[in-house]
Amino acid sequence: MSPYRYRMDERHDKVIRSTDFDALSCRISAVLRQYLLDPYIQHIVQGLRTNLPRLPGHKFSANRTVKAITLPKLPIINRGTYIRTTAIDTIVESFAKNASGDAFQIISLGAGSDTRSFKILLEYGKKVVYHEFDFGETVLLKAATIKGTPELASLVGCAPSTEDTLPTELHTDNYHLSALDLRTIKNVNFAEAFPYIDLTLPTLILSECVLCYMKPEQVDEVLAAFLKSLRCGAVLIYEPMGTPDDGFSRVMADNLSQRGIKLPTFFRFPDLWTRLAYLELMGLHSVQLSNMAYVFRHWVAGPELVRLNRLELLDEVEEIDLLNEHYVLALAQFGETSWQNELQFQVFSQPNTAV
Amino acid sequence: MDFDSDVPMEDAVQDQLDPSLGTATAFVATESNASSNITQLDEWIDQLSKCQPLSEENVKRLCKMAIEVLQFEENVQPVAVPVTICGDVHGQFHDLMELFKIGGPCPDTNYLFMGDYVDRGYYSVETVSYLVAMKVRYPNRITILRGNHESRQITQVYGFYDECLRKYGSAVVWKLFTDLFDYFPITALVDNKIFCLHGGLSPMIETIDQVRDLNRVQEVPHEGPMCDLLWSDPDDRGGWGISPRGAGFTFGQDISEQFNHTNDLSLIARAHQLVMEGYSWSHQELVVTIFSAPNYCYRCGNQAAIMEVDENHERQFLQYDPSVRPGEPTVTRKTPDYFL
Repeated sequence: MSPYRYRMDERHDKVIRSTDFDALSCRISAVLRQYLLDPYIQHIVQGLRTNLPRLPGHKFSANRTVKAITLPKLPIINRGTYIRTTAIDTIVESFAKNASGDAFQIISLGAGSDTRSFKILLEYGKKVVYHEFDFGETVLLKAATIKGTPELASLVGCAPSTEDTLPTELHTDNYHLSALDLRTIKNVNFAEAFPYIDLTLPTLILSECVLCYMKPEQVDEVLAAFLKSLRCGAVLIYEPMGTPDDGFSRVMADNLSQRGIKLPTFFRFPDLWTRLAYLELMGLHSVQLSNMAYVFRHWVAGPELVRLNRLELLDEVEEIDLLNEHYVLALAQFGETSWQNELQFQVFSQPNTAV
Repeated sequence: MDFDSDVPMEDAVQDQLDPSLGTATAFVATESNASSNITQLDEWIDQLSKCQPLSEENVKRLCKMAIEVLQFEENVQPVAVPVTICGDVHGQFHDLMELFKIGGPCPDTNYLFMGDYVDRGYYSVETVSYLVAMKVRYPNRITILRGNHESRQITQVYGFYDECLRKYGSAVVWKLFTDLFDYFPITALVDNKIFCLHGGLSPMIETIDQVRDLNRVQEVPHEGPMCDLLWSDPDDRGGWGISPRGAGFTFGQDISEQFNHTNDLSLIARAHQLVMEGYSWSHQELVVTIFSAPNYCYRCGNQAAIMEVDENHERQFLQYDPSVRPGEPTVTRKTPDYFL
């Protein structure tokens, strides 16, 4: 590998890490506009204010970064963030409910500054073990924020503290925040590297715009690594989905590549059916998929829809459908599972394909 | 001082021979004023066509001139054929220049724009300034209707307000333009046959005469007939429906049939909705949607279109893609948001 190539990869990694700030920024805006309720996000923002300047290379830009993150977003983005967040919440709730009082595990890949773990820990306490993996730099920030915020520290079960050096990881009985470059996973011995992952518990793996930044063979390796190590559970994937002959997809790929974001699998599986086939090929069963426009139309109704429609005038009706049609929500199970959720999806495996 | 908006359009050659005739004469008292105004307007148009915004002082003068023209236009502004009908532009200034290349320069070609000049794109100030200047310069050659974005409330959400602050350092220009928007006509009637408006029909409007009775000089209301005309959409479902936009209604083919029959119309031409091909028929060709912002919001990847209507009411659609602007540093432009 040439040194030049190395620098390019490093730059791309940095850009991909920055997508966490995009996602955070969207959630902040959606919370401010009352699309979402998230009592923890203020702590994350405060934590960034405190800790981002402490990261090497961020000292001078930190203020600007935090300011940019807290700028309001357009209604289309608020609405898309709402459906992304609530759809995943709905699936997590359904999975937890299916455990019916028994312990279960959640593994969030590229969790970034997500606050879902706090909510789930509050609700399920000792019944859940929540793992979050991300790049080292992202983990440093989040660990420092949690330790420095008494409410969050108490939720994950550690003593609040502020230290001179940023903590590299954070492990408690029910919460594990670990640094991991997923692209190296094929060389990892699971039991040795992650002794705190209980390989026997039913496990929901969340990939919210994570695998989409990886090369196809790396995606294969990540899925294979978890599937061969864990006994049973499900994988949830939320990510962009492109169709080569469609203007919106082409512009999306161009726009993101101008920011330095590559989506190696964007055009690889251009529709729900090819994605279903891929997930089955990887050994998953009971695959369910929808685009996010479908999810919005079928999962949001009644008073909640009325509430949403009153939050902001939405003059982007066609555009939001177009944007949401280019995101896929996939849910697929592995091992011996008994999870028969009643969530409505567009495309799904034939029943009884379970192995 | 009255302005006879119902005179047939003179052809463009005459305009060029005698600039004081039938052009910017409505608001001036004397010949010399008229020609100095025309000189001034031509300078502004020249400046704006290079995508350079006018000074605040000149925007103030332009808006004052424009009120003098627009206040005498009707709620249902009569327009003669031939005319080229255009939809949303949304601050995509370079694509507007492309539109005039595709459709032919104004005033040689008559134009009817159906609103939404501002918001979303990065050049709302230049776009609306240019169109207003053209309107004042060639009042009989170009008609500019009001869209739902020509409103104080919407522009504060979708970008025009912020752009004015950024480009002028204060909200003065935003105030000048949004005050001007109140005077824009809300519909047009092409040769008594094609009813043109930004959004669509209203359950409170059965006849075009009822539109004439509205008091349009006000902020776009949250509900009622004027709101509906700027916000409604045609729909596959019959009858009236609740609009997902939170304002206006959806209307079915039965509604369009009744309205066109009652008012002896051949077509309703409207804008307001993104359509991937730039135009789209609904209700068995009783309604056409025209959208003139290619690659809308620099995100949608759509084509744009305009509709030419000739003397015999023959229609032709011209489609176009985003203008290619060699040398423009696209990387410095902020990428539109995605979910990442």
